[in-house]
This record gives sequence, C-alpha cells and structure tokens, in this order.
Amino acid sequence: MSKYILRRLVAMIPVLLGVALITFCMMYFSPGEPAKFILGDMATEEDIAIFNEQNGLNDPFLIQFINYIRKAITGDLGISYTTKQPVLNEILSRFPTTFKLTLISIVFAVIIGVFFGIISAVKQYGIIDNVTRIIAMLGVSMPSFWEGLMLIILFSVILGILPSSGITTWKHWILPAFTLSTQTLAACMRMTRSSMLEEIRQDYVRTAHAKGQKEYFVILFHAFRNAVLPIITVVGVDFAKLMGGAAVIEIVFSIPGIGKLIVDAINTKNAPLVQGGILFVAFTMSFINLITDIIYAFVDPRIKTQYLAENSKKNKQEKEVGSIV
Amino acid sequence: MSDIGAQQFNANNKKKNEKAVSITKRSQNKEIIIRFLRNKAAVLGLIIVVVLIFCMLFPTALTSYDPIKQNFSERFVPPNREHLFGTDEFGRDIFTRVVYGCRTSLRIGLISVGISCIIGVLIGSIAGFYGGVIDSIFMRCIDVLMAIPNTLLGISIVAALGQSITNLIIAISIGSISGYARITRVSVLTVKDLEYVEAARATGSSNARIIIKYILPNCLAPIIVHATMSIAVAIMTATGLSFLGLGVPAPTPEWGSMASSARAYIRDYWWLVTFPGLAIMASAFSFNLFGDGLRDALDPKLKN
Amino acid sequence: MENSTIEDDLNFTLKFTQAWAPFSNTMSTGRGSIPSQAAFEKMGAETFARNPVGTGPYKLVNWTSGTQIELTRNEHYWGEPAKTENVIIKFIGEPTARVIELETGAADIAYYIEGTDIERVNNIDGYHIEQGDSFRYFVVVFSMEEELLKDERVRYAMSYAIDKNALTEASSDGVGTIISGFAPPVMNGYMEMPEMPYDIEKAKELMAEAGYADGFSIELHVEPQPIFEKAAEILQAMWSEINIDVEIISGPLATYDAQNNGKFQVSLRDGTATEISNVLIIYESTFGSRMNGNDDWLDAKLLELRTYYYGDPKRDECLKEVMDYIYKIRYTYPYMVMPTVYGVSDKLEGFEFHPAQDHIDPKNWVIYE
Repeated sequence: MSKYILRRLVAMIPVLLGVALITFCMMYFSPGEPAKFILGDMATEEDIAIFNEQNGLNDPFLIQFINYIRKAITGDLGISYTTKQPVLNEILSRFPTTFKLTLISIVFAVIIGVFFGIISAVKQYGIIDNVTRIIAMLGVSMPSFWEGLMLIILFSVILGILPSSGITTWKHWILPAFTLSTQTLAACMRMTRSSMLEEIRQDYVRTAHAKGQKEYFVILFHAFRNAVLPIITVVGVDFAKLMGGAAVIEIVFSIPGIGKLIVDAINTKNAPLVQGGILFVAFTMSFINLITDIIYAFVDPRIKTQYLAENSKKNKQEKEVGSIV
Repeated sequence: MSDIGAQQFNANNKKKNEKAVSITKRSQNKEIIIRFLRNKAAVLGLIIVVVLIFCMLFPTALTSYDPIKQNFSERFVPPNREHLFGTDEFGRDIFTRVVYGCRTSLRIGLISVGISCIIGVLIGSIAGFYGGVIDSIFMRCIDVLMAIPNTLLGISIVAALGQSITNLIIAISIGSISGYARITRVSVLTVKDLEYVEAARATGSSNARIIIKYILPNCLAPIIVHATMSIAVAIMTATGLSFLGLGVPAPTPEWGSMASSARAYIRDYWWLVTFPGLAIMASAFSFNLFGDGLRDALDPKLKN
Repeated sequence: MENSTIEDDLNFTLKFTQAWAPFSNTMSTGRGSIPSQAAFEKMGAETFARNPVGTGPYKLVNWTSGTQIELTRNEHYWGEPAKTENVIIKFIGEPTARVIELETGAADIAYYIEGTDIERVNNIDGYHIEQGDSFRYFVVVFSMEEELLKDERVRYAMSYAIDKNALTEASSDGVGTIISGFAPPVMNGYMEMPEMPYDIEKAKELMAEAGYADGFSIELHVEPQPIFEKAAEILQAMWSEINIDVEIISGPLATYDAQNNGKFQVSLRDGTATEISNVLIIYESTFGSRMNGNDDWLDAKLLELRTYYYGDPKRDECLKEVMDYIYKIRYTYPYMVMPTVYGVSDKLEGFEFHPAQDHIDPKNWVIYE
C-alpha cells in the first residue's frame, strides 16, 4: 500500500514542476522591473541594480528557475506588489474560505445528487428520472456566473430573502454554495444513476427482486456500495477542480477566497501574487487528487488485494531465504 | 505465370473489394443518419446549432443595429418592440450584441477546437503508434496539462500573454489538447496490431501513410463526438474568462463581458445580464445535445 | 526654503526664499503633520514609517498592511481629547464590499460609495447617505511628449469629438456634474472657461488638415475602476468617429508607469487636491509621469503663481494667464466632478461633512447605541 502511495506522490512531481515552469515563465517574461514595483517610483538606477543583484535577477534563466523552486518549497513565494506582504500569508489567509465553500458545495452536491440518482435508477424512465435528467443537462450548460447572477436577482432583488454578497452569516453561504455545486450535482446524479442501473441489471439483484421486497432492499444497498466507487472519483476530481475554479463564484458573490485573490491580482498586475496563487492552487489540487486516489485504493477491493498479495509474496520469499540460511 | 497477370488479378480483386467496402460504407452512413434523426433531443440540438451558425454568418439578416455604436438617448431601454432584448448602459441594442456575440463565441470555439484537435490527434497518434519512450514522454506532458483545470490554465496564459482574442484562443486550445491526445492514443492502440495494418506494413506503406489511411479513420467517431462537446466547453471557458475581464477586450460584443458589465445594474435593469447568459446556455446546451446524439448515432454500443 | 529656526518649545519660524501661497493649505493636510524627531532618529526611517509618532488626537496601535489600521485615543493630546476611544480603519477595495460592511453593521462609516449603490445604502436600516460637493474632478490627459499628439489640431479634434454631457452622464450613472474649468468648481481659484463644444464635423476637418484623415491607433490608460473603464469605453466609441482606434489598458498607475518607464499616450485621471496650484501641478515637468510635462514657460508661470497670496490682484492676473494658456494648448480635457458620497450610520453623532475625503476628522465622532 505504501508503495502505491509513494508512486502517486512521485507522479505528482512532474505535474507541479510543469505548473511551476508555466508560472515562472509568466513572471520572467512579463514587462517591467520588479525592483520598481517593490521599491516604488523614487528608486534610483543604483537602488534597482542593488535590488537585482540581491535577488539574483541577473542570473541565467535556469538558475533563477531553480532558485524559484527552492524558495517555493520552503514557502517563500515572494512579496505582493500591492501590500508588500509575503504572498504565502495572503494566500493562507484566504484559503480557509475557499475550502469551506468548496466543502459545503461538494457535500450538498453529493447528498442531493446521489439521492436523486438512486431514485432515477430505481424508477427508470419515471417522471423523476426524466425531470432530473433534463435538469442535469441544463445544469451542465449553464455558465456559473450567470446562474449566480440569476439567483441573486431572484432571491436577493425580487424576493429579498437571501443576501447577495459576503460571508457573515450562514445565509450568506447558501447561494454561492448552491451555484458552485451545480456541475458536481449534475455529474453525481448521472454517475449514480448509471452505476446503479448497471448493478440493478445484474443477476444477483434480479434474483433478490424476484424473491421479495425485504431481500430486494438489502441487495439494493449492496448494489449501491458497488456504485460508490465511481462517485468517489467524481467527488475527488470535482473537489480539486472547484478549488481551482471557484474564482467566478467568489467574484460574483464578493467572497474573499483564493480565486478572487488571484483574479484581483491579475487585474492589478500583481505578478508574484498571481504566480504564487496559481502554484498554490495547483499544489492543493494535486494533493486532493492524491488523497482521492488513496481513498479509492482503500475502497476498491481489487487494488487492495493486488497490493496485499504483493506483500505476502515478499514475506514468503523472505521466509524461504531465511530457512535456507 | 506472368507478373503482369498476377498484378492484373490483384488489381481486379482490389477494385471489387473496394466497391464492396464502399457499398457497406454508404448504407452504414445512412444508418447513422437515421439513428440520429430518431433521437429527438439530438435533432433539437442540431437545429439550434444551425441557428447559431446562421447568426455567425449572417448577422445583418437578423438585425440592422450597430453592435458597437453608442447611443446616449436610448440607455437602459427595457425590452420592447424596437429593442427585443432592450438596450445597455451605452444605448446599444442588446439583441444585436447577442447576435454578434454569437459570431465571437463560435469563432473562438471552432478555431480553438480545430487547433487542439489537430495537435492532440497528432500527439496521440504518434504516441500510440510508436509506443515506448516516445509514448511515455508525450503522455507525461499530457498528464501535466490535464492536471490543471481549464479556467486556471486560461487565467495563467492570459495573465502571462496579455488580453486579446488570439491569446484567449491559445489558452483554450492548450487546455483541450489532452482530451484529443488520449482518445486518439487509445483508438490507435486498439487498431495498431490488427491484421490489415500488418498487411499494409508488409506491402511497404510508410508509417505516416498507415496512420493516416488505416488507423485514423477508426478514431474518427470518438474524435468527432469529443470535438462537438468541446465546442460547448470552449464557449463556456471563453465566456467565463471574459466575465473575469481576461477575455475579449472592449468594445467587441462578447456574452461573458456583457454579463460582467451588467453586474452593477442587476437591481434595476435585469435584461442586461439575462439575455447574454441565456445565449451562452443555449449554445452550450445545443452543442451538448448534438454531441450526445452524434455519439449515440455513431456507436450505439457507447450509450450508457 | 531658506532656513528654519526654533523659537521655543511651542513656536518655530520657517523662512522661504520666495512667497509660497499654498503653504497654509499644505500644512492643513497630512503633509503638515509634525512627527517626533526623537522617535524618528531612534527607530530609523523604515520602522518609523510603520510606527509613526506625532501630535494627533489618535495613536497608532496596529497596522496590518493591506487590511486595516487600528487607532486608540491619545491621552496626551494638546487639545480636547477625542470622544471615541478606539477607531479601526479598514481597507476594502471593492465598492460592493464596502456597502456590505454597512449592511452587516460591521462598519459605521464607509467612504467612496458608488453612484449605483446610493439607493441601496439609503435603504439600509440605520444608515443614510451624506453627499456634497467635492474636489474630485475627472480629466482626460494627453501626454505632452507624445508624437501623435504634437499637432495642436489633433488635440482639438479629439476634444471636439467628445460629447461631455454623454460622457459624464453615462460613466457616472447620472451622479456626476460636468465642469468647464480646469479645476473643481468649489475650489478657490476656479475659473469658468469657454465651452469645448461637441462638433464631430469640425473634428473630422481638423484631423484631415493635420494629415490624419485615416486616423491612428492610440493607447488609453485607466485605473481599474468602473467609473474610469466605462468612460474609457465611451471615449473609444467617440474617437472611433474620427478614425482613432483606441486600445484600453486598465491597470494600476504604478504598474503602468513601471512597465512603460513613465511614458503614456492618453489617460484618464482623477484629482483630489484641495488647492489650485496642487491641481495645476500635473503640468509641471518636475512632477514626472502625470503629463510628461515639458513646457518651460508654463513651469515658470506656475512657480510665479505660487508666490502671490490669495486676494492679491496679481494672483488673479497670473491665474488667468495660466488658464488661458492651458485652454489654448488643450493638453487636458476636464469633464466631470463627482460628489463626495459617504455612507453613515444613523447612530453616529458629530459627523462633519468635508468634501475632501482624506480630511475627515474622526475626533468628534460618537456612536450611540
């Protein structure tokens, strides 16, 4: 099992390096002297020269890139141009908000999505099935910013029962979380429905159905357990995606999260913050993917037995060698 | 036995086989079309797509207003007979801007899909066909690309290169390459070792020829379906980035940026934001339906 | 300044090489605050900048960069002590977010309320709007060093192509008022100048005369705020009528300057100075990137202006000369002045409206329950 985890960790590295390369190139090739941004208008040629020397800005591309990676690993992502504070601090102060928003959205999406997915599967082609399928299709085609704005018009402007921006009370989280959950909700519904359908068609379920109601429900439960696997994948993938893509929702609802931080930084041409933000989000996403894979490995008996078998083979070999000696 | 005679024999057989093949192909195509037309949702998608393409090619047939000219005496007019969707904060007719916005969005969608399709298919077929180290390297790069979500990648690229339609297309294209690469690679792998490919190799066809003539036609179906669905994704990504201020610069009409500037006015003038959004939804929805229908028609076995 | 002498513990004399009328105005702003020399020397410039020691009614407790400043009452204040013990000033960049602070009751006052939010704030239970004339004026600025704009006819053409009423109305959502002088109307020294009319035909004529009948491409830089971005889009449309193709660059001034070495072509600026010389200072070549100023005659005249005191007839004469000249060279096109808008809690007593938002004095504020 630990070998599997190690392998996945190692696979993360080229991905992160790739992202780091992209963000580093962004900074390297963007016009303007970083010295001028940090030291201000009054900086003299001399000040700029000293600054460049101190920060290794005259070194060749590769050296600068390596330094960038080195600093990033220790948590030094540079200084924000606007607030002159370390980039990592700014990111970390906004991270919990985005995380909370994503979490609420996922939980909501999974609960509602799975629920309706099961009903759709069990009562295939019934009214609920058709309605949920259409809603799911529409949900996937709806741009999230538009959905958010429409919900604001309906619930804030016309009905006046829900707030439209900020995160002060629990009511403030309802609209943004719902908007963010739409795509995942649709995916969960569809995924649950199709995997449940697959299970339901199996012989063991049909026999149980023939045998009677009580047995049928128990078997349905087991069918659901098998259907859970792809749902975990969906959740994992979407959790990671949402962490990166909540930017639009955060902007629409004025939520102080990472996405909004990055977009605002782009609009104010705050290169270190953009760089650091993107790198951080990519790292978080890879990490979440890793956790998802590990959970998946634990839950999927096929992968589990594969690694358990490997271990026992190793043990047997050691034992044999031991006995010869 | 003269060589010429043998050659003649082979040539005749080849022609006969080709004819047989082309006959089956023709009725197969007809089958596909019939299957497609039976799917009502898919037909609906196709109709809307045709309407959108019409808007893209002949905007002047639908509206005579200028999408860019500002008209300060007609600001914030609610939807009425003269202005179907009302006017915006600069007095421009919103229906006109939605129609011209269609041109912008579809162009971005089609061009980016075209670019990423060509590059992705190229990468996927080379990786799948040659295998080994080339395959590993290419797929590793694709993995890196896939690990970054579309929006984030788009944001990074536009932030680095600056805001313009070209950079937007580049950003979206790069993000979609991985899908085509993977699909092509899988298709190539399944077909690579079949007998007729071996036969072609034996008769001395070059690798490129083999790939193009024998292997790719089999991948066509999933690629076409993926391409259609990607247009929807491209439109969503482009409008999303424009909404964030990172897409098409002013004053070009674009659904995302229209929704963005309408944000300040949603309390009093709901029509500024509603109609561009509906347009986005209709476009994405129709391409999704169309793509779904294509997939079901081209290979019913793929239906889940 | 020639020299300064300390008379005694509470008096000092500053001797200037020449008369400087704006002095009293400058001393009334933050630039006139007197810091503690001992503290400055002890801490060093950088530390002192983050922990200033002065003579005001409040002391700095904490400054979280980019987020907020916490102040507490200075018990040793030379005048009557401040009525409220603790004041927190929060930096919130987005206009909507500032309104949210009022809606949730987290803030008692918010500055810089946008036109579109005025009704919303008035609708909040327990809050109202305080609005009045301000010094905040908006101006289109042409770089004095820009090649394309060197021909006076081009600048005149671009002025004639601007419909000032439409520009003001649309970019400020009806809250702004047009101005016809080179300073905010409430300012001492404001002179009403002849109208710069909207005349597209004349504009096209002038462009053709100058040899630019086919127009050219130009970059317009604005700060990333809706009031500027909207105005930019409007100017883009208006100037397209005379074949000028405008590319809008939106971003903070500091960044734009750093990326372009202080050069620009056209930009939209707002000014909040409270004294006429500080408004006209943008023309001076020593003032840097504001206008890329390079006019010696104007530099000399503006210096001269500062030597005449208010009420001196020579000041009015000099001012008229300057204004006429500026009007003639047409390197700026002022178009609008925005009112100062505050969102204030009904429970706040002692609020004194001041047009310059940076001059607001929290000394007398009391919040009642």
